[in-house]
Amino acid sequence: MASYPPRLQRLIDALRILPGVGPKSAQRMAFQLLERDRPGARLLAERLVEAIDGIGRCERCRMFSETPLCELCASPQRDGRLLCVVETPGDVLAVEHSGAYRGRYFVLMGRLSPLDGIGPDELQLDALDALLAAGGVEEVVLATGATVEGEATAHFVAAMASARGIAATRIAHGVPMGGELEYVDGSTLAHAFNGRLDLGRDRA
Amino acid sequence: MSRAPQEITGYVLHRRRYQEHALLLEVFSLEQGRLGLVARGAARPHARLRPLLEPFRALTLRCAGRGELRTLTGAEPRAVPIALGGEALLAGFYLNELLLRTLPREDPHEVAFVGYTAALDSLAAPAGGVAGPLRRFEHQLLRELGLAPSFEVDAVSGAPLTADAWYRLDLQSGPIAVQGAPDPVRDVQGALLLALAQDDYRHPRVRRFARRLFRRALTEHLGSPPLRTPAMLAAWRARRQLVDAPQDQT
Repeated sequence: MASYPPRLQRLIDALRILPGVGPKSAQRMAFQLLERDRPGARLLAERLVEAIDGIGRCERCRMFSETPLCELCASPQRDGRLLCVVETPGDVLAVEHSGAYRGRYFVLMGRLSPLDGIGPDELQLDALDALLAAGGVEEVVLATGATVEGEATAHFVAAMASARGIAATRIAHGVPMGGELEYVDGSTLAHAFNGRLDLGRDRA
Repeated sequence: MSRAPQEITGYVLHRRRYQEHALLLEVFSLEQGRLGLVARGAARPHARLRPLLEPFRALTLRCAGRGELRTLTGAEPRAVPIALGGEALLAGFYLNELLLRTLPREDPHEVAFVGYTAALDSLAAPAGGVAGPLRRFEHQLLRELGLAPSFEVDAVSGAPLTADAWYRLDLQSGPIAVQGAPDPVRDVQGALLLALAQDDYRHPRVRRFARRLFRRALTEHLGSPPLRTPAMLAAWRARRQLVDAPQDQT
């Protein structure tokens, strides 16, 4: 089998760090960049370096940010009494897109996973504790995933909040919009039933 | 060498991402003990199987293949999911870690399986507290592994223990009656050991004694690295204590 020039091989290998990219796709991408779109490839390379050098983490919420405080943490429009705890930066975007939340965030960058050795220290929950101790937060909204690890994380952070006299709430798990009950799995339905809302008085 | 699909009853103990869209499951089954299963496609967004493949859920699993790693071909719930929260949830992780560390793959342990199911049910019971179910399960697992002696008879004389006599406990052989004056630090009274034999952990002294004894036996058996979940349980309890006594915390 003919081998590639070393630089091309290195490019193909480097592309494989992307999720979902195996040897074949990496090769296709490399050929596309070199054959058809060299200016685009140069731009991509510059953008990558720019991002790596210029993007850090918000010192308050740990979201990706170019400034010491991210836009959300710096904005006076956001309600500083609410703090939403999520697992990943992607979760922040998901909640933002929902438009349902106007408070601030804290990104855990993971979740407690006792069996993988990820405990409170590995998640640096001290940083969150310091944020809670600094005052101003009145409610912690636990928006960690609906997995057993997400649940453990939520309970742990809730205990931290309670220790500081701060209310802790967990987002509800339930039937998706447009969903038929028949096709919803049992554990989601059980959660939906446990978290049912009163339609009788306030919402008549 | 049949390659026909097999149907087993089991729980997912642990799962991790495997390649792009698959989950690697560690399963504890009634029929075959611990198994490694690959669930292809289960890590895709909206995968139908994903909510089922969470730990602490009794499942009927169908799998194909033989040997170390089999392929999951289907799963159905066997019972309504149990709800574990807070300390009970961390205790559940501890049970799973114990099984992962003590049992080899493809070695059926029906007694431990029944004990595990019972432990999960008691952890989910709102009133119980976690100590009783954990000690009962540890005791059962130690007996399964041949690491717990009888707490009912004297290891030397074979006589049944008496509640008010004193014994020196050796984990390998069992309790031996103390001749002469007992050493209150090293020796224990028969009543305590008889409570262990009955798995009766209502008394705080029995709970404390059992926790130390079983933990020591498991630690010695497992060697290094140490279990990870006990440290997390301890961290959790430390936080809860702050909640229970907020006036001490300024």
